[in-house]
Amino acid sequence: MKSTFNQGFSYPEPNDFGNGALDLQLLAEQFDAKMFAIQQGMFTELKPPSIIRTSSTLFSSIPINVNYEITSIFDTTTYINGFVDGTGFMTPPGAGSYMYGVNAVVQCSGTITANTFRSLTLNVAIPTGASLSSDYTKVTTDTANESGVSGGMALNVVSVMDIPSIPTNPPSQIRVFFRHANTGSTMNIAAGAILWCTKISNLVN
Amino acid sequence: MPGQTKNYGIPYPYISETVDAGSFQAMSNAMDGVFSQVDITRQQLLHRPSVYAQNIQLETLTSGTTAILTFNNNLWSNPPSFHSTSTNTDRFVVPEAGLYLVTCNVVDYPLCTSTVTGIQLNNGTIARHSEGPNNQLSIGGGVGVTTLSVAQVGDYFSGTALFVGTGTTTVHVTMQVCKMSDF
Repeated sequence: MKSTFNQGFSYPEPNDFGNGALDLQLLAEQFDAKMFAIQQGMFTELKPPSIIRTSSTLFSSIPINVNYEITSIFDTTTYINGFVDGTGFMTPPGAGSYMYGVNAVVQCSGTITANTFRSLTLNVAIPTGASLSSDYTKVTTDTANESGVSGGMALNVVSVMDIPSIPTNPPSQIRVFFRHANTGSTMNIAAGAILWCTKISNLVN
Repeated sequence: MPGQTKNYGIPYPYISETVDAGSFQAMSNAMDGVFSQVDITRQQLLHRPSVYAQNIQLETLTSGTTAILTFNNNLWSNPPSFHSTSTNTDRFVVPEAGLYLVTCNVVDYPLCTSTVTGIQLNNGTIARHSEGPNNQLSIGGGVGVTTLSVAQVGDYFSGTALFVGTGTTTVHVTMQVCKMSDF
């Protein structure tokens, strides 16, 4: 028996056609298995690991002038496939290129005065070392002045991060930090904030 | 009766059966069908529904009023029914259930107190992005917003824009929607 160059499909040599039925069965089964593997791989690619979390309640009183992680804010999982569930952060299921984003409306309960703009910075962070609480890489930020904005300041960050590997202790995590410099009033995050992530590609060297 | 493979049911003759032209024909037809079936999956992977629309005319906004944006030109729309440039031009109608990446961009906001660009799903706001005073700039600003959303067949996305300033203004708008994942 010989086999084809790329996929290894078997076929008899010119002087070896004494068992045609068996040879055809072998070819059919090889073709079946190869195509099935290809199609299953494509089905997997059609459903890349993704997650969407939202907040169902208002979070009040963000501390001033600190990078503040609210691990309880994203309390509702709208969609999840392949991610480890959690409330404030997300662990990607493996190496790859990931797109992620955050939408959050920040409300202020105090008086807004001209020239005393308030600001709030939102970071999506991926820890790089042993400490999840402090050793991380800030990868994207949205900062805005609140003065003049009625109904709250709507922040939006979107970015792409290549994660070459997922260490086990601690694992890489996509986390969200809020920060504001508002000394004169209370800052809240409205219900309906969104944290999302989806894998957009494998990494190939 | 011939045997058949376990996944796609490709027929093959048993050892005791005679191999003839019909054996090859049956197997070839079955393989042809399998290949076409797998190719459909390949097309789904490579050609996800997506649309990129703009309004080639300026869109008018009134201070303090959130406008539902309309788009009168498709730079791309797959399938064409994803966005019509003649009927309900504000709607991006989801052709397949899945996760969708949605972006709305509004440029040339005027010098004003605040600007907000938003995305709606079935008339409900799902994401917004605002900027505060831009009156220290020499020209107005642009604000874009992007989010990922679950959507079912027939759901529709829309873009919104708001400025808080004086009177009316005109802006340029674009919107992109792309399916990222099956459920």
